[in-house]
Amino acid sequence: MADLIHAAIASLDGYVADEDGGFEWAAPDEEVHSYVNALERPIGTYLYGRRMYETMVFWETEGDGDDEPAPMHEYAAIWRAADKVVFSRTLAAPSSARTRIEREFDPVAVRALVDAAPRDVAVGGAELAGQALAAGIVDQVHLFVVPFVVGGGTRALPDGVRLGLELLDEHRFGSGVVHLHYRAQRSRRPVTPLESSRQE
Amino acid sequence: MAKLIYVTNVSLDGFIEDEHGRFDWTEPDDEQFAFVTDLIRPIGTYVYGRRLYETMAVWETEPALGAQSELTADFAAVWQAADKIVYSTTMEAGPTARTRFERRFDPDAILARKDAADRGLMVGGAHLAAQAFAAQLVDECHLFVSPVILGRGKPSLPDGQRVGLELLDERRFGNGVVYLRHRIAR
Repeated sequence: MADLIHAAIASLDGYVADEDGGFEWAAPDEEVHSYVNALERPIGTYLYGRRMYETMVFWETEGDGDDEPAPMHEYAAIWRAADKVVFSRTLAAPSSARTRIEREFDPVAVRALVDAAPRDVAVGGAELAGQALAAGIVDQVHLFVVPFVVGGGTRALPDGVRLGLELLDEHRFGSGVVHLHYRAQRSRRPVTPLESSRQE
Repeated sequence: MAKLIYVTNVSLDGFIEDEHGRFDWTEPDDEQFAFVTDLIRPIGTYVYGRRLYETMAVWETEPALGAQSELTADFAAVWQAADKIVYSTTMEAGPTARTRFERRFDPDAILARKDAADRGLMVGGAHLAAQAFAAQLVDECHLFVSPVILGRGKPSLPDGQRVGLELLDERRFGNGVVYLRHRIAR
């Protein structure tokens, strides 16, 4: 059975982007990028919201130029080989191969997709990952903690969701980035948004 | 010049306490407890807000705590030996020795103390730490990251400040807590 995985690069105070939407402080060096590649190579399907998809679709056509380092070439190949599902009410058509659009993020359907998948599934973007964590359908969380405090912005982990974790691994890189890998407590069945708002 | 360090427990999403003010999700095991005792052993002065001071004062006022084990006896002895500065608008005296009460946080007074001290200083509590960060008084940040996501609560690191850091040390404990030690880049 496949796992649903959320991985993010975050500041020490827990943000994936600062108040202006910038994340240049989070750019991985070659060592971190190679490690992320190894982590993502087994991923068969990426789940994205529209904005994250529009950021990531860069890799469909870029990243493998002669002047770009080897980890970028590798990642471009990994990304292109995987299936993508974009959850968006407005996106008319995908601009990459192996990509389909879903209008609603239904946690029950997403969990069924993961359970039936031959390879692991990754959920990307703070908002969509937040919905998946709130629904209790995420199996693993990877945070790459950057040695920087940004003071505000988009939080890596969702508001209002309490979740127990089990530390599986931690690893330090030369740049001072620390990788934290957790197994997340799963709900016995996916929690729908209506139920979670009733609980509050 | 002595260093001022900030030491705190924190959830993976960066909270020092949950939205109800609780921190029962963090429970050090013996290994972590001994590590924390060794970390604060060289510290000469603790800088506290009133609430954290009242939480910690039991290590002097309740001898039964220290009598539980060698570990707790060691921690109680270390805690009692240090000076405390407590910032409070309401409290003027407390039940512990070596304790001075101040009305308001004065960055210049802390800077003067750093200049004069031969042992390190430690600031505790998110609110006070944010003021110390804003005044550029903090030299190191020591976080004990618990394996839990709280969703809401009091942030451990200051809002609205960009602070460059350098990782000095990290290690994991058997209970899943990860220790991250950073130096503040100036």
